[in-house]
Amino acid sequence: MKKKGDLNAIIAQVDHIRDFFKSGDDILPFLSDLFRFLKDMMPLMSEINVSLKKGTENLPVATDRITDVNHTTELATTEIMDKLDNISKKISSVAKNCTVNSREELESIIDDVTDIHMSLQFQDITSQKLEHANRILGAVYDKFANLIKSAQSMMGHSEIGDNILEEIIANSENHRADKTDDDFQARVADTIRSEEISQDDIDQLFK
Amino acid sequence: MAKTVLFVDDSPTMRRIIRNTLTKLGYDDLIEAENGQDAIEKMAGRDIHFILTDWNMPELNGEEFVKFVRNDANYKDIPILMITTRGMKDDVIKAVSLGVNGYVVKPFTVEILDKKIKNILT
Repeated sequence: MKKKGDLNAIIAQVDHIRDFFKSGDDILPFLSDLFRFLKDMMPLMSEINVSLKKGTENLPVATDRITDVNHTTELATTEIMDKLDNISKKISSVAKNCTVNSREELESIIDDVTDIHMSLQFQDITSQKLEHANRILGAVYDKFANLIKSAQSMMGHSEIGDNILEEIIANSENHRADKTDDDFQARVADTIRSEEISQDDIDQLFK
Repeated sequence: MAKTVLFVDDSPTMRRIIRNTLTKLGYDDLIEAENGQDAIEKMAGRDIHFILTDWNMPELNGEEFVKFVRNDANYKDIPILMITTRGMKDDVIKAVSLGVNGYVVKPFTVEILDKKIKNILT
């Protein structure tokens, strides 16, 4: 009886081993498919890597330029306002010694000067919008920098990770040399739109 | 009696435009501040008739400044007009919930500012 039991145990073991090889037969095609997929992904990953690095390198330059533009327009606006104030003062002074008709005409010129003054609000409005764009660029820069950092952290964890990353970096260098990314440029040039509200609608909210 | 007006904006251009406009409208006791923090320091001990404030400002922005004013026993009843580039519906709803009395989206005209100031004072 004991011999029969041993035989059964051996048969069970053989079945287990056969099942294991059966699973291996099923897994092998999946693994080779996975490796083919990874190989196909390499060029795409390389392109992503190039775009990320290129975009990240350009972002600080773009934000600096926006800051410069804001500074320059602010200085120019102050200069224009100084001139306008001087013109208004001179006209007011001349108006004191004029006939009624001439005075009315001069006052209408002062009103025009005031309108020009008020229209200079554009400087603050545009500079706030540019600052908003600047903040978005800053956030995108941080995101890109983190992504690059995450990709680099793949190194050293596994042999396969190291190999994939090395392959991506090698491909990236080739892409960098001969590829321009017009699509990326077009997309970053796009504007941000959102729902605006009219002054009349605002007034309704305060009733 | 002269009405003291506090206006808060980080843009020198806007401060100058607001100052000129308020002067044209007959307000001559003006206090100007660069941001909410500066405003809090400058309004101490002053009898402020009404406040004009921007929203986007460094250090202490308009939202935080309005919260400060509305939570301070000495200032809580001062009418506040917010003058800002933020023209989204959600922004205005938020400003109403903060307790501002009026809201103007830049750019404004002398006439609009006059009308809105009169509205918050009635």
